[in-house]
Amino acid sequence: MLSYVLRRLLWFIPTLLIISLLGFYASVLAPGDPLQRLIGEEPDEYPTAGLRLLRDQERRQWIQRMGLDLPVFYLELVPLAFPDTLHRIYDRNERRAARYWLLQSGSGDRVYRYRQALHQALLQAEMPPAEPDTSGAAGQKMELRTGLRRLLTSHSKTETDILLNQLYGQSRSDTAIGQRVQAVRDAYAALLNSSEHWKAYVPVVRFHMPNQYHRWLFGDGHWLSGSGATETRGVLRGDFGISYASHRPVSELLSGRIGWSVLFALLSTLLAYLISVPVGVHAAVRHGKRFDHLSSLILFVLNSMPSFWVGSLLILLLANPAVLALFPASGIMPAGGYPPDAGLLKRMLISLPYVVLPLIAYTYGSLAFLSRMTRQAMLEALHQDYVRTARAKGLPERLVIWRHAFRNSLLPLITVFSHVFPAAIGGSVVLETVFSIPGMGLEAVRAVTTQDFPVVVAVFTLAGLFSVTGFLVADLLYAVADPRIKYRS
Amino acid sequence: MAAADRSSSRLSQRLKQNRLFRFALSVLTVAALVALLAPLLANHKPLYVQYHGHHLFPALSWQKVYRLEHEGRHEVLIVQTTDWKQLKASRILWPPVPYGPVQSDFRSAGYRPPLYCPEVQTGASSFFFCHWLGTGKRGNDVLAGIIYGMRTSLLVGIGSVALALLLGVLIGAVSGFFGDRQLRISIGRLLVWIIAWVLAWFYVFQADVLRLLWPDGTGVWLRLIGLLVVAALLLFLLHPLTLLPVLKQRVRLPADTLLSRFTEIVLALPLLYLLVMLAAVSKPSLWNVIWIIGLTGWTGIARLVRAEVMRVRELDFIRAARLLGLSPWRILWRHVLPNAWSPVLVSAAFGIGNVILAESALSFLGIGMPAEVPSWGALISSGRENMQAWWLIVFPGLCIVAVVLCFNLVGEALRDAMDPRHAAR
Repeated sequence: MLSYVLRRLLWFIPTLLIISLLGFYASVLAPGDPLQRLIGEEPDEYPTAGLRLLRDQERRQWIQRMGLDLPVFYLELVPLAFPDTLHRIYDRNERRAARYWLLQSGSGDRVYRYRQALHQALLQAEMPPAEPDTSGAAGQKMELRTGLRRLLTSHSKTETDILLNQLYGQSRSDTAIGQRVQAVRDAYAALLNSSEHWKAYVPVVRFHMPNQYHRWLFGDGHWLSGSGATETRGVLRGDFGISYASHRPVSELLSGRIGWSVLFALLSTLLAYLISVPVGVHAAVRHGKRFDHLSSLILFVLNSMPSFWVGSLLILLLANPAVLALFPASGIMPAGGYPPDAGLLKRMLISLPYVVLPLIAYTYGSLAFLSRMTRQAMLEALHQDYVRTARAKGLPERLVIWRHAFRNSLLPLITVFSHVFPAAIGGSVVLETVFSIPGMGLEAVRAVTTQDFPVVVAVFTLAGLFSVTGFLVADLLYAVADPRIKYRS
Repeated sequence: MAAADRSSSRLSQRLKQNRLFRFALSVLTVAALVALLAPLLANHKPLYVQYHGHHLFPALSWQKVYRLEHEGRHEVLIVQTTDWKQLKASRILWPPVPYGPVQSDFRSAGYRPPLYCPEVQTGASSFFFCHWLGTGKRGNDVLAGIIYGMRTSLLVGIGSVALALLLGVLIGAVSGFFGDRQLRISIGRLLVWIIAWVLAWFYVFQADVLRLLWPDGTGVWLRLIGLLVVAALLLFLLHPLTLLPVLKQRVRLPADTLLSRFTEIVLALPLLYLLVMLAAVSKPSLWNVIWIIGLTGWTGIARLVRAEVMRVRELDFIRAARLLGLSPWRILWRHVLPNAWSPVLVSAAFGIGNVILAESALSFLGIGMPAEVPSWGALISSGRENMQAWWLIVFPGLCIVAVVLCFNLVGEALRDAMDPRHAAR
């Protein structure tokens, strides 16, 4: 038994690992530049060289703070041509271009020199003209800037050739820039003349120790104790980074919301069991009678209704001033919040009318499923010999049903907990939107529509954690409930 | 195979006697026809127009622009944007519902209730242009939306369940048939397989060898095909390795344990949140929704197939086949699977219903599904903006319930017909 529990807990780990990997890769693949979301877009031209340097410094600081210059994962399988500093190119498009040239030439050195020449030319082009603009020099510089920026991200030989020729023509009037562009052209020629093409086809495995995944998982301090962490304590310690939208820690943003989601999931699961067990048992006892047929039919239809539709209908009928306004339509508490002196009981009383409709919508789906399961299991149990024996002994029918038959049909009911609870957590996305419950699901929808990736990833990871926990609890309960089941390894 | 044939004929007989099953099946047939013929049933373009002697088929033809010439004048009709209802045509034939699913219509904008009939200046009677189920905010016809929504629902439902079936049957069959002891493979072969696939991935996605053939970049499909080709090539090249005597030793692959754990992991992924995350990362598209649901929805089917295959593999005729020396893959494919398909059919029917529910929830949230794809969930969601417009909530919802109910009824009938204990009870 103990070894089974331990083994089960061990299997918990790879599942969480895969969920965390999915969440992490989604955050890496997420479109858009996190830096841009946090510190704003780059200006096209800098008034002075000092400002450009300051801005660069700020960018670099943020990149370092967020660990964006680290390699993505522990291991990678890359061509030998890729230098192990490739990940330091922060801009995604620039990195793509660099990879292209590395594959084309096979030489990390030459690509490095080409990119350096490009950056120096760009720096020159971003400087304001020395004397007041007279001969359209400013316009020319702007063209140079756009040309050079396109070169940095260009991953096509034909496009690069054309762009370089254009730049050459444009830069001839300005000697300072002309020199820089000539340097770029030389570096490009050297790039194409490389004799190390073979390096692009030899695979090497590289191991990176400070990497983004490790940092995301464990924080930037010591991985076990977490001491020395400065920017992030890691997902494992509940630190999901900073929300792009509100610039507040994600964990702070979510901590008040998880409670509502879990509360509704637990309450509705409990309610579903409370209703469906008597219904299912009753239907099984009166097998083939009217109650059985009627309840089966109703539950069957209920099972086919989408929960958001039921929720919308409930609002339409019972929270609509034009029909019946018995309940408030949305939210979880009055608009002004609770009165400041209200205790827990009073708050619950205030929230009660808000909770009724959502609970109905949450519950009815698992209701049908659970009742069917109960009925099935009871039918099975009622046909057993020990039930016949109990009846033959002259035990009262109540005792036969509840003590003999029902106890033995509990098992499948416990296992389906692993379906019902995760389903309730998953359903929260839809129903929290319908009823405007400030839970995790509503936050997820808001985060998706505002492209707030740290929040999206956090919500996904947490939802995965909850459903895995549901499975674990169901398995352990199952092991506890049935002494006959032996868990051999 | 004789046994399978006999049982299936008994099955169809039992199904034929089930009235609910026949009813549900006919409803679903009608639904499928509606989905297939949607552009002919509801369209804001007429099927046929006779206009100054020209014969036009705006709803049917691919043509985007008509350049017409009559009485020395030139006229250009842009098929999508022309107001065909205002056209002074000598003859015009409309589909039964003369409105498109998402097109705005200024004549009936602003939530018109069911049976609202706008004034339309054409030869046809205005009774014909009634909005039988009302309109939405922009004057979009609800009935047309429902007809096209049927398409989306069935496409997503059938598409993703087909993918889930493929994966579920494969994984369930392998883990059930081979168990932990039966799948044996030589070390050399295992090594070659692993190395070939890892290298193929490296050459296609990291070293990008395809750029040598297509310098201007390649699409996803080309890359996947490239992956297969490179892997096949590497398998061929590395094949001599398997002949080394050192690597000839055979090891057992614990297929059942590995695949069962994998199934558990996939089962634990919260589907709705996965789709929400995918929606945040990629552009909304119908195909994304289909493959994500398909890739995560196979677990139930795999478990069923595994149990069924484990039952069938112990039967006498399978033992006989083994004794005859048939290859295990052939036994699995030709003899085990045909006898284990019944629970698969049941869960496919229930699966389509569930996927349709999930799809409607997604389009209700406006997540993952593109906004221009007409769907029932989106209609219901648009109804929530205006609580007076109950028709936007009630009718599409009823459609979801009807279709899902029918799939569930089919599944239930199949289950009853296949389970001998059910029939006896």
